[in-house]
Amino acid sequence: MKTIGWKRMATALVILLLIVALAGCGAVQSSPSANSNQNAAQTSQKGKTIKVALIPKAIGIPYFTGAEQGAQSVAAALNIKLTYNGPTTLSASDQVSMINSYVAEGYNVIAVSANDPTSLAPALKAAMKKGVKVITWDSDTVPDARQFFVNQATVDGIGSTLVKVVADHFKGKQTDVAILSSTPSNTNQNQWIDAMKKTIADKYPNLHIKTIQYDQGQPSTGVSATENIVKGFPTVKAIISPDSVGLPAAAEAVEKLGLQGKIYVTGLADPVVMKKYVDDGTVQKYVLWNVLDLGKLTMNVARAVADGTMPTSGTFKVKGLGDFQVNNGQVLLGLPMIFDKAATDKYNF
Amino acid sequence: MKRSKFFANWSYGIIAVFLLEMVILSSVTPKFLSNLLPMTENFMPIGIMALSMTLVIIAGGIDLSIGSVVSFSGVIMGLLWQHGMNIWVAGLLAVLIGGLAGFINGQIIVRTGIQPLIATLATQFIWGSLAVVLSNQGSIYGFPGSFLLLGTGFLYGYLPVQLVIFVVLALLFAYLLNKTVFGRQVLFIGNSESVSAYSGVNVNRVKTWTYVLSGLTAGLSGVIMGSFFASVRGDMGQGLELTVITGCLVGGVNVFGGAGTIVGAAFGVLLLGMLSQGLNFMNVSSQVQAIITGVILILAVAIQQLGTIFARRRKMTGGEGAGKLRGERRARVE
Repeated sequence: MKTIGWKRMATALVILLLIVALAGCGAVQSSPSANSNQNAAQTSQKGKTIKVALIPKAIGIPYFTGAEQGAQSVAAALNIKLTYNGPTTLSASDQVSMINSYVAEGYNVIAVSANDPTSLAPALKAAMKKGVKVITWDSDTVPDARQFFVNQATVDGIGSTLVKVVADHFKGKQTDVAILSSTPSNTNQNQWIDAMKKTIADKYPNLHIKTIQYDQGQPSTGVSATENIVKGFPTVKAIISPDSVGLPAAAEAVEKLGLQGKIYVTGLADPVVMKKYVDDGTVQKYVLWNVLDLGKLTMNVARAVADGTMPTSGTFKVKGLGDFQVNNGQVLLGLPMIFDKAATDKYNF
Repeated sequence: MKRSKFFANWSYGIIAVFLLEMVILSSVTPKFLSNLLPMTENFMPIGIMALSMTLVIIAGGIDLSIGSVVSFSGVIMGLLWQHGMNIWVAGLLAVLIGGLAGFINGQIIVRTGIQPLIATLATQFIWGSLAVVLSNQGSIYGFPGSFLLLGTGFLYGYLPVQLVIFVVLALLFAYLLNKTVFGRQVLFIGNSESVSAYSGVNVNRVKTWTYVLSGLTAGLSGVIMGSFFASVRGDMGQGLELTVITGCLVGGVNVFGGAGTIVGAAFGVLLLGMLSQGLNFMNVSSQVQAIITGVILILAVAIQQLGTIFARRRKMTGGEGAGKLRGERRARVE
């Protein structure tokens, strides 16, 4: 009873590693040889019904549901059989598993908002190898893992529009501004903040950024960070939060402190989240791209890619939606929208 | 012995349910069968970790840290590779680091007497956060193509490498649990720790080894997932532990320890994994899939409970056909 079988098992593990290593030398291939996908040979699906999988970062989020509504509204007219499904958490591996299923099931186009730029790459490349068209929307992967990226807004577009909202409100008056970002290491946030600084330097010398605080992705942290801004920087008259967690938190804090009308709050967030603060007057205007249009444009790109008519650079004309710039595989939705009360009531995402 | 016999029978039941599921899914979605083998690549790390989790649970423990160990060893592999180490050597070291993490779990549990649930919850936080910090909140990628075959390759053009690894490991673990002294000691400890200790079993050592194995398979899963996704991230293993434990429980591993089979756990994972793939094929949303998984877990464990109670009652009444023989209760020496 005193010896345990671990020596034997260690030997077995070593043998296993050897088997794998040996197998790696010869018999292993990168894809199954029996290819069951019939789409591979066909280059154009023109005039045929195509199956498109629209995969968000996660389901059950108003932002992505808005994109789905947009996509559904044009799918029938484009002769697209649309499936909208994604993981329940922001999981890249769940997305990979779904992509693999959709490829196996014979979908023509996969349109995904990637939870990670690199983790999805092998699955997407394998999909393209089998003749499935791959586009990304909202959040890109590495460029060689997809054919097109439907880019909802450029860094400059977001930065300049956010600053414009504040500048239009204060009309040339000297104004101290605070920024409420999500985390210090968030790439998107930092790029937008840089773009805001650049716009201020170029066009609005009357605006001065006094401090940048962080909500760490938590509403409660955002509320206390805003309180710190108000108490620590009493000259600040405007708060910009380019973060959909930070903006409602800033509005909540300003409301709590009874400073409505004294501190101008704006930023990036969804209409459904902002409705409450717009209705009670804490927030007048805020910025977001039109998510419905993002869904519609993604479907149009899906159709054009399947038809083989999508230009990699130039102008992409969509009937009823407008003309869109395409730069090296990136389709631009255009400048973000400024939402006021009327727009907030109208949109449901 | 009746109890473990019931759990052995449960593994036949789970295989039957699995086969039934295959038949149903293949008839509902025509392309399901032709993609059967490649689809397993999406959940083989879960299966690999379920093998060692079975031993941990049978010995009366639980290991909540494996998801974080997956992330941690994956990130370590990526960092070593980034600093110029050969990817296979880095991968091997990552597996060993997983084993070390398991050893630490085991030592915390046997030396301090902290509940396994609490000890491994704590190390889950530690390894998980370290992984995120070390990876600098981004991903490490660009591994050489030959390494990617570990997670995405096919042996002889149709057998996924991951599946081969899983089957070989499953056979090893089944042998370990059923045919070695170590395996019998694991079961013994799970049935009664104090009796095993009085019988001369080195309880602490056996328990520590179950956690070391758990860490090793988690490390291996980290390497395989790094290959499958062609990148590693600090949060790549997040939440995997619960999927692994669910597979074990559906496969008939008794959460209180003392009973369970490798075959059962392996098919528990296959059952749930294939179901999720099949439901993806049928465009069932992820939320509904999660609900279905919850219902299956409750049903599976409830049936196991009822089965155990029934088996016990049968034993009390003295044999075949519980109701019939109730009157002539025979004394039976077992």
